[in-house]
Amino acid sequence: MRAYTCYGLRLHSEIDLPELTEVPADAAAAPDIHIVCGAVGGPPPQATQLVSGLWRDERFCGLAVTDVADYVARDGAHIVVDAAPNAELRAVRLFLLGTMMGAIMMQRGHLVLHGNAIRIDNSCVVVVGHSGTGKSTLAAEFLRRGFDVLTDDVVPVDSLGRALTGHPHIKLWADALEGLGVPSEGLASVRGSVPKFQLPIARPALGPLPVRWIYVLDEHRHDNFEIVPVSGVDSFDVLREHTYRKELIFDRATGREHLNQCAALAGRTHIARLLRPAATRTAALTAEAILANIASDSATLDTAQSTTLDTAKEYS
Amino acid sequence: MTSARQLAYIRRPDLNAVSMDGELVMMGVKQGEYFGLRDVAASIWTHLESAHTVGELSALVADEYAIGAPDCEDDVERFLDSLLAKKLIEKVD
Repeated sequence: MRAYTCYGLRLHSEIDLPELTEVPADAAAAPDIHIVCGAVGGPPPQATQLVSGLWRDERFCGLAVTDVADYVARDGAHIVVDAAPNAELRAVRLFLLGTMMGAIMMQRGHLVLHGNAIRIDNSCVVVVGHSGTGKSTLAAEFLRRGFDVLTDDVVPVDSLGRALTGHPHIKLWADALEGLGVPSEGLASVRGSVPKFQLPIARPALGPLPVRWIYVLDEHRHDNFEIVPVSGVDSFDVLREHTYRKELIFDRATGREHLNQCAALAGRTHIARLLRPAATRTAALTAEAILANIASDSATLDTAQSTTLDTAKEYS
Repeated sequence: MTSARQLAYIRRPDLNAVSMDGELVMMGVKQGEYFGLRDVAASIWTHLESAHTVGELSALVADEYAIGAPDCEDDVERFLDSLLAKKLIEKVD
């Protein structure tokens, strides 16, 4: 049994999880999440079958991956892993730390987005986008520029609108690593011969940080980078579209909770689409466009703050 | 006179709608179905918390948007029909 920390939670696991930050074992410390090995039956009859081996009901969420493992997450606190004979452990961990931990965070009442979170002073920016839009490459680009990456791929946002700190890795394809000038030698691949690697990220201990900006990585047919603010009904569309494994929002109760979570988050954040030319949408240019947009927003806020201070001074 | 316009309409219970920047997003009856309501549509939905006839709703809309009530009755009725078709509202006797 080893102890780890992820998303601010204490995990006790019967499976070694080198992707996570290990913490000292302490018999007295009660874990938030128990990961155990055991037999996993099929879904109960009342469960709703979702896509690709995924099912859910009120308390349970299950996943079956052929030749890898069957998993069940329960009550936001327990995960049972039933690994296939001769399963590759890296693959077992990949779905455990991805879909299953994502399901656990949903069960714990978080809005879970598919993207990454980058620290900007005392808050953070969340970047979302469909597969292949370069989210993780962008996270690595921010890392290269000295920013702290809170979490990559799975972004749980709590009821106060704060992104939680995930495990200290970014999953990157070999060509993305090459583009960043990082050799893939010595890095663990995510699974078998798949040319995607776990890039370790060094960062200070970070608590949850308020999400202030959300950018959607997108493309357009023009030659420029353009940032288009999103509001109202459209902001729900964006948050729903980029909810992690959104098929897990499976019934009226979870739908209602998710809609309320999205409305609350939209009310606290600036949401915008980042439209990029397909030919030149490099991570460097994307990072610059986001930072420039944040800087113009922060400048507005700073001006407002200093005005308030000046006014206060007059009265003192 | 018992025309269709004498009927009152009201929101169906158990529908969840949230406000986002003054627009409304609501869950439909079917799983994964959502509707967004903006401007006049959002305003009419807000009024449908209690039962109203087409005439009453048209008068409220006309007042809010400074237009003539008869001008918008057809549009209001068409909108109510679409809400009925989506099972978001129901008729009240």
